[in-house]
Amino acid sequence: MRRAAVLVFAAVCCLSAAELVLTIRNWVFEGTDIEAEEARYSTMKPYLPPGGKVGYETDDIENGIQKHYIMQYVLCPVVIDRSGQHEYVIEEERGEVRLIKRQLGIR
Amino acid sequence: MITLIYSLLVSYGIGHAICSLIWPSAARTAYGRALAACVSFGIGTGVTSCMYFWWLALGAYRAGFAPYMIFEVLALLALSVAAHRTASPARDPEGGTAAKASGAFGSVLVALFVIAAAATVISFVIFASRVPHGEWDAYSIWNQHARFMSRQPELWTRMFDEALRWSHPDYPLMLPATVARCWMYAGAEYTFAAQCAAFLFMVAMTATASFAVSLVKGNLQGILCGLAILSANRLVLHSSSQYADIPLAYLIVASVSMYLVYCKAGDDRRLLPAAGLLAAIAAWTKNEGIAFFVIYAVALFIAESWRGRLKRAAVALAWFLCGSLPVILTLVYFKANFAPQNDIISFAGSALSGQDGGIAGRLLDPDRYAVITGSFIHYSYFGGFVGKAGIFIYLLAAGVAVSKGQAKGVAFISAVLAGMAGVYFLIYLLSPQGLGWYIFCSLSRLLAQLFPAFMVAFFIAARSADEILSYRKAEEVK
Repeated sequence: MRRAAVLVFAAVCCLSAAELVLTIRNWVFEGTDIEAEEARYSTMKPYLPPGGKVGYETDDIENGIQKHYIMQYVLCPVVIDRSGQHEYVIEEERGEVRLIKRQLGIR
Repeated sequence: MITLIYSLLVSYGIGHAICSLIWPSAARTAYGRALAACVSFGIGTGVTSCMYFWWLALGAYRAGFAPYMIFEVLALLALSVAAHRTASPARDPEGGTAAKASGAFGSVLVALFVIAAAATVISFVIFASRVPHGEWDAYSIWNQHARFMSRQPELWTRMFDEALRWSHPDYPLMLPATVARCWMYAGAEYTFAAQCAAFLFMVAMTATASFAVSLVKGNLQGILCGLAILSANRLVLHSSSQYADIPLAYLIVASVSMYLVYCKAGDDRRLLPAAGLLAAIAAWTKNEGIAFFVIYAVALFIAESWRGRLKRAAVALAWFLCGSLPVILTLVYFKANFAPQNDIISFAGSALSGQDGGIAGRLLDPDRYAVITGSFIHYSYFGGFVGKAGIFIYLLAAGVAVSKGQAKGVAFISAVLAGMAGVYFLIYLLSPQGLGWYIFCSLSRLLAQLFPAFMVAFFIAARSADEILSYRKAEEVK
């Protein structure tokens, strides 16, 4: 009886681990493609102040926080602040991003 | 890629040399040495992450990374020579005899374990390939900090900028420093480095729990413990998400395993510095690890004073603290000089007052107790059969069989885990944050930190598979 319990327990544990392989293959991952985001910001990277702080404004209210976090991850060690009160501001409008130097009014 | 592997080998070598220095001869059995090999990974990772932090904090990066690499190799050589001089021969190879004795029954369990391990590796690879930079917390906290610590070392303190409070810059740096160090060795930001670290922590966690149980309760029981951990699907997902909870779970199970070896090796005090070092590395991994370190120290003091005099407890605690000192000093220096105030401490002020009646209102609200208790039960399910009350069905069938020596270990682990669960409960109870959201975001991961250590205590308390098999053999002989 006890021996059977051990074997059944071990077999079901093994099946549980195997079940994950079958289910995980069909999962839909809604995560952001960070490689694509890195390519997206690569053109503006050389123009950012090294070690400085840059503002970020977006019209995407729903995903703004996540986009901000990913932008920060991509553009380290430049600090990205969710505010427009900076000399350099990354502006996102309908999915298009651009770097604006506000003090001089140059786009 | 070769330099990346080299960096991991140097780190492991340092851990192994330190472990060899303090590992007593009484615990140099087959499983004892296997357990030492597993905890060496944690010690090596923790110590080298501290060294990397000091390289940044003291401004040694100005001299470049090459001197740091040379320093690590010299440290490895010095520790290896010292470990070689103090090495003592291995004792009885009980692992071989146990494996032989288990026969066909054991072979079936080993085969099931191998299948489960292979399935877990495949699941990890599939998940990690879909989220190569990890999930939300990985790229907004852990890997982001790693990028600050490696991209331009002279600008690493920018991660503490006020604008980045949302990325929890007060979190300890074991994991980011480990990943950043690998990237510095490799000379490139391979996502493979963070994935590899996550994978190794998961493997080390499972192996440590298995070997700890094998050492105390026999070969087959250790395999069962490993199977139970592998079947908990959520642990694999937390691991491949590159969060710090699985590294912390590994360090917790490694630390409590040291107490088991301590009891097994006839209270050899040399194991207490190892326990202290591992518990301190847990504190250097996540803020919850700080609570674990304190609870471990208190539990050790109480356990030792229970077994003897206060003087004996004080000596044990002193050995424990001695081992923890290098890492705890690093943590204190980090917290005092770089880390901003933790949000839970910031909330402590607002916890005294608030719309819901402040701290007294929350403490006296029975609904909060009910919600938190219900959530603890709900989130204790880690996926798979084990989570669905399977272990309790197993316990009913196999029964409880624990010797006096083993009971000490089980009581110690249970006390530490109960203390941790109590701390988590209290934080939820007092937090002014929205309770439902707070629990949804964190409780599953918090309980995952404790799950492997719970499994170790559980399988030591349950009647061992080896014992069940030997009973059956004795019946057959009759």
